[in-house]
Amino acid sequence: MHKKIRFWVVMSIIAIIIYLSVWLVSQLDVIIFSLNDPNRAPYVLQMMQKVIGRRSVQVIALIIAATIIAMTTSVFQTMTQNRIITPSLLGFDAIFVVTQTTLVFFTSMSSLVVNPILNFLVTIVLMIGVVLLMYKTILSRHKSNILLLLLVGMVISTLASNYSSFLQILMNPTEFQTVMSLTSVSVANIQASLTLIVLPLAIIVVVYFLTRTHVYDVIALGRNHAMNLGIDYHRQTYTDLIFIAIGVAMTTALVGPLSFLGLIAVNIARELYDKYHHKIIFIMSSLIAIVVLILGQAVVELLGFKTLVTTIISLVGGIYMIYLIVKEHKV
Amino acid sequence: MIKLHNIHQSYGTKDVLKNINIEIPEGKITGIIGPNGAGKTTLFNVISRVIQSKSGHIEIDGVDISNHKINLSKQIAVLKQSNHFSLKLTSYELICFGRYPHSKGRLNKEDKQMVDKMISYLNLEDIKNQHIDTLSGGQLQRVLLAMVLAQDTKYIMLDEPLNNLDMKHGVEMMLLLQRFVDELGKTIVVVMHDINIAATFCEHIIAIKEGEVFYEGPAHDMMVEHTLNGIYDSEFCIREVDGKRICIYHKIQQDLITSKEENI
Repeated sequence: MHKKIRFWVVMSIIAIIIYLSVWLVSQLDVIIFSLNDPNRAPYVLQMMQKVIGRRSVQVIALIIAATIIAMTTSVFQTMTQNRIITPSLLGFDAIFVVTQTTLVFFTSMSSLVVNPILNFLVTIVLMIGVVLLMYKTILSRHKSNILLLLLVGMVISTLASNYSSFLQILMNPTEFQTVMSLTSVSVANIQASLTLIVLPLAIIVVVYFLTRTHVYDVIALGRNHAMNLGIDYHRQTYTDLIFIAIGVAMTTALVGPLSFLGLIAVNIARELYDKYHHKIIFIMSSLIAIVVLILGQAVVELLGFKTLVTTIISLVGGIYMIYLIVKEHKV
Repeated sequence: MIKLHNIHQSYGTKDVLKNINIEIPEGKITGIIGPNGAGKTTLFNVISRVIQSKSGHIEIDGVDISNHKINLSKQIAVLKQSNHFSLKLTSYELICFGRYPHSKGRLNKEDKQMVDKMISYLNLEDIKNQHIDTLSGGQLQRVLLAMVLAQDTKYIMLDEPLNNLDMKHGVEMMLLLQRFVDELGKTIVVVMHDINIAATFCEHIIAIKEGEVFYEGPAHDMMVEHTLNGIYDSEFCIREVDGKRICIYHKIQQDLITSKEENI
């Protein structure tokens, strides 16, 4: 097992290095030319430092997003005892798109849209608010009935996406462009100031999940066994869901909707790992998510931004996941 | 000793348990029997605190446990019917989970000794490292019992432990439970359907009918036609075999059927 973890650690380091240097490929001629010119060399070096600095911040944001998405997805799957569910079924992605569309439609190009920090705060408060409202109304009446919560979440996301496509049809093309760029996963949306705000929050969420790995091991046995073994099931589910809400809202507002990544990373980790310990599943799935996301982003850049990173993730990750499942179960 | 005072439970407007006052004696197997829908499982769930009763309270060894916050995992171990695991687990790892209330996830030497003791006690050495999805129903049931024993509680509650077991494994299971009582001093509560097995192996019987306690007392005294007919609305025929009373049931009470037909 340690071998596999080491392999994925090395892979993620390689991915980060590739991402930090991939921009050189398209600019290589200019850089070499400029470096040969003694008058230009110092400016070029300065510029290169700046680019690498900016990219490091982006890498940190991508690592945060990948880790949190992997962890929240695996906790959510453990709670629901289902391997094909992700927290996005609670309607996060749809709520995110609705918030952005509404902001652009009603406030046009005001500071709420243009100022990334303001936009982030409004989005995250709204997303967590909607989910907490859902928990309060559903979970308090039907104790820990997560399936009902999922059902309501799916209805809400359908409703929300219909609402946002309605608004998008009414928009003028410039506003529509803005909405599209705000809601698609893109490093262009990542702001250094935002990353610094999110980082401490992300660390709190990650530490929360990591310190409770043995609780999730027991919860994975099922509700009855967990209760028998002394876990306060209702309370635990409730706090977990709140932390999941915070984590997913944060990453979605930071990078954009990325739900399929969690599904792929967690399932690949579960296929590669032949035991049940959540500690290892957390680490493995986070590493896999980091590799897939950052490499995917690098590939997008190599292709000249002609496609979205989600497409690459779905293509490569999906194929690998199907391969693993077929191999494991010898269908 | 587990004592229930005035336990009342209802789903919607339907009363499932009405005013239950019972005592579960220590160091014995107590069987809960009764027809389908009588409230056996609800009673079981209330005692094991899977659900909370609408009113009334429960005492364990003189301590009121109605408060949902109290952690009872070191006093009562509960094993329910459906045990499907979607995890990649070996029998040994599953049994180790029984130590969770004591170890909180970190097994120390004492925990491991306890697990090994229970494995040898139940003769599970052969299947110790086998994955649980490759075990037969009887083997899985034994592994789950080992897990419950490893939890090291005074009380053990089992919900229809004989489901899906053939008669050989069923009898083996009941003999095991008797051994737990005799050798380990456990107090066991089982929900059962088979009256003959309950009468043969349980010392104490609680019979539930329509949410009320119909009979409470020694198993031997329950095995009279009058009582059984009352519980199940059937006609029983009781014979004595090797000093144990055995019942046969092949008829539904005639007068009941005719009265129903008249109503129609």
